[in-house]
Amino acid sequence: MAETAQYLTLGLAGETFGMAIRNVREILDMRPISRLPHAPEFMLGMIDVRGTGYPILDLRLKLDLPPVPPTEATRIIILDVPVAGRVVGIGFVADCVYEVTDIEESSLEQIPDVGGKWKSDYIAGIGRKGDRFVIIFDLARLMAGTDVSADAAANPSNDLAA
Amino acid sequence: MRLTVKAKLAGAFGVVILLSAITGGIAYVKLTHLAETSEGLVQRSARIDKAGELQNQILYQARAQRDVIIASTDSELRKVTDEVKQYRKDAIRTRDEITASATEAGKRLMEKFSASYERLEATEDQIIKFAMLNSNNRGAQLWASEGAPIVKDWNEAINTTLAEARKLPVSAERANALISVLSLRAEGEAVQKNLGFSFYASTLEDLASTIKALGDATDRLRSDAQQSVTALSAAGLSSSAIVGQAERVVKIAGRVSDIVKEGGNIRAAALASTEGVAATNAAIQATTDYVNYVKKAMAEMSEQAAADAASAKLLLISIVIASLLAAVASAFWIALNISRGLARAVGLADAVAIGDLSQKIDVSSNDEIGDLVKSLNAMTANLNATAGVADEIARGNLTIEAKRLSEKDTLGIALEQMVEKLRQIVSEALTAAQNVSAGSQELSASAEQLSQGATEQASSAEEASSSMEEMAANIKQNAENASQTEKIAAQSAKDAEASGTAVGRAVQAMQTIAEKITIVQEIARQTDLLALNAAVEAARAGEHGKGFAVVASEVRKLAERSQASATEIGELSGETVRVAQEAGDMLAKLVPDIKKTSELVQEISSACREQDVGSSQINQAIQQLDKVGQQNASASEQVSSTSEELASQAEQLQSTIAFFRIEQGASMSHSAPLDKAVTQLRAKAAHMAAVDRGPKKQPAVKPQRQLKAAGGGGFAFALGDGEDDRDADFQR
Repeated sequence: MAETAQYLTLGLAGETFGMAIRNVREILDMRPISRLPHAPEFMLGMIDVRGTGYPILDLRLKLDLPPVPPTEATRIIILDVPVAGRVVGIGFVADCVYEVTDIEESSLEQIPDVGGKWKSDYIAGIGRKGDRFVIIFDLARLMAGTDVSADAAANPSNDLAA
Repeated sequence: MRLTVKAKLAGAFGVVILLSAITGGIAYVKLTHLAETSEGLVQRSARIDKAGELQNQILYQARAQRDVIIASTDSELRKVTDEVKQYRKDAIRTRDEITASATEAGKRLMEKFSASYERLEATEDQIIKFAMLNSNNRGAQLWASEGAPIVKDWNEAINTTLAEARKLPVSAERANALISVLSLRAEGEAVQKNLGFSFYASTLEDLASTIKALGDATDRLRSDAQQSVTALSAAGLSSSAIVGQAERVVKIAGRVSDIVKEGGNIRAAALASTEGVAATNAAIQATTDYVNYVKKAMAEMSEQAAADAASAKLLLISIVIASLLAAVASAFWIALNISRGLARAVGLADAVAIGDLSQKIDVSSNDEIGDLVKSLNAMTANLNATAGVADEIARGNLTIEAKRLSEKDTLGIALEQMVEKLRQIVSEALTAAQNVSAGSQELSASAEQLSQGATEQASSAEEASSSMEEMAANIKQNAENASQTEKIAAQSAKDAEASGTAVGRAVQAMQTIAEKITIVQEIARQTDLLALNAAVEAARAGEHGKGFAVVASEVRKLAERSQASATEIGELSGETVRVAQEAGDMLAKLVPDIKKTSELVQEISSACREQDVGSSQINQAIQQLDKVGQQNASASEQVSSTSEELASQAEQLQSTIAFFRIEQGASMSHSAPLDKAVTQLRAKAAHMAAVDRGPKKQPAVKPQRQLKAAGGGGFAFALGDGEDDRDADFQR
């Protein structure tokens, strides 16, 4: 029997993305976000969840997609993200969250090769769910692009792979 | 010869006017003459004035001569001579002015004046010439200026010599010297005295003697001076100073006496007092002569004018009296003639005024009065003729021809028109009588028609009454239906309002449902989220969480289903609310329409009530109609009796008109048709009376109807007891 892993699927600009369930801490409704001065554009601010503060990032802005106003389906996903050797709780704003699903490891495909280098290091792999592609995030690399930390970028996916 | 009043008046006034014109002419001529005379007098007096002026100027010249003689300095002399020149110029101008306007005699007198005046001028010139010499004054001046220092030197020389002589010891020589010096002084004083006398000499003799005395005095002075030389030298005194001074005194005395010797002033005064006075007097006498001459001429002129005025006055008075007499005589004659003629004309006019046309006046004079009398006679004659015509008309003779005398003859025209109008009226009256007979025939026919009409009216009234009954029933039914409809409409309005309220409540309930459903949706969503989180937790738990994951997925499915259902319910309830609101709007629109319907139905029912009242009024009208039918029947009887009366009146008219004769035998032919018409009328009247009485028995039916009306307390139609063929036409 093929080995499967569980992923949380989420929708972003009509496409389906996936995240390893291990990293997911909690899913929340959209709520008011306290803004932070001098924060980068994709960082919306901070929220309080049961006494703990989390920074909130807009996935759309992070992926250079145009921003949209929040709807009923908009969700905040609290994740454990490994940053520079430690795990940080960060909230991501997604258009919607679908479900927790199993994806076969074997069915994961590599990043398509176009013969040149493109900004594709945030992708861990591309899975399938029915006839739809599910783009699996590599959270460590995704955040590494943010931090501009050379060490963080050096060994990013070891923790993720585990 | 015809002598009219106009001619008489013209003659009388002509004579008076002619005499007045002559008077005026004479007066004008005389007045003009007088004016000329007075003008001449004024001119002459002006000339007298001028002559007076001339005399004054001559006198001024005489005064100027004196002034010239008296004048001592050259400037005074010049001033006076200028004055003299001015006076002369003035005098010449005045003389010329007088000469210009003077008569021949006056001019001759003026020539005489001119001659004497020229003499005066010549004398005056000479006087001025002498005066201009001014000898004594010049001598005095020379003596004062040059003689005074010489005399002073002379006196000093004498005094010096005397003082020297007195110093000498007393001797015969000293005495001789003193005597000779003193005699020299005396001689010098005599020279001075004689010179002073010569300045103030008033006549030529005086002057000559003074000059001679002066000459003697100077000779003596010179000889004494020669003699004194020996005496002085004997005494041992110098004589040269005395002799020198004596020579100087003699010399200056000689010069002064030479000037004074001329005697200019004295000569001038002499000339002025002799020839000057004579010439002046001659000139003044000449002007006085002229003045006297002019005065005399003026006196003559005024005498002549007075004489002329007296004669003119006499002439004028006589002419005025003559014209007055002529005017009075002619006025008296003309007035008497006119008043006599007019009195007779007035008598005739008075007679005509009181209607007496028999008077006549004889024509006596051949003037306007005579014409008036002739015209009055013609007037009475014409009036007599007109009276004859009127008399004929009064007798009923309309065949007479009235002729107008002229287009302005109002009486003649009136008579003419009267005869014409009377003829027309009589013939029209005859025609009218014929018409009356024809009319009475028509009258009888009309009476017949009237009775027929009454019968038809009765049957029509019957038909109308049956129709009215049906109509009344219809109206009542209408009113009832209308009131029911009104009630239903009111109910509908109320119900519609209630429905509106119910719909409103339904809408509210639906909205509440929609709100509640939202809560359910929210719960379902939260549940979904919880289930998702549970799945996440289960997945993180790995193998141990498998069972929990299944439960979570089931819970999530349920949540999704409930959310879908809630959404559906929400949509449905929203739709329901929308539909209910539409229904509510429609109902809200319905309510005013129903109310409007109710109002309209109310109006219909009130209209029905009015119709009910109208129908009762129509009933009354039909009753009235029936009454009129009865009155028509009685009127037919009246018409028949009136026709009889009309016939008798026509007969009377005929007999009355027969008085006038329009043309011979015409009246007979007219009377026959008239009689015939009257007979016909009578027959008709009788017939009509018969026709009228016939139907009178039929109305026996009518009282039954009337009884019914009385029983009902109003008018009721007997609709059941008689149907006619038209009743079938009336259907609902």
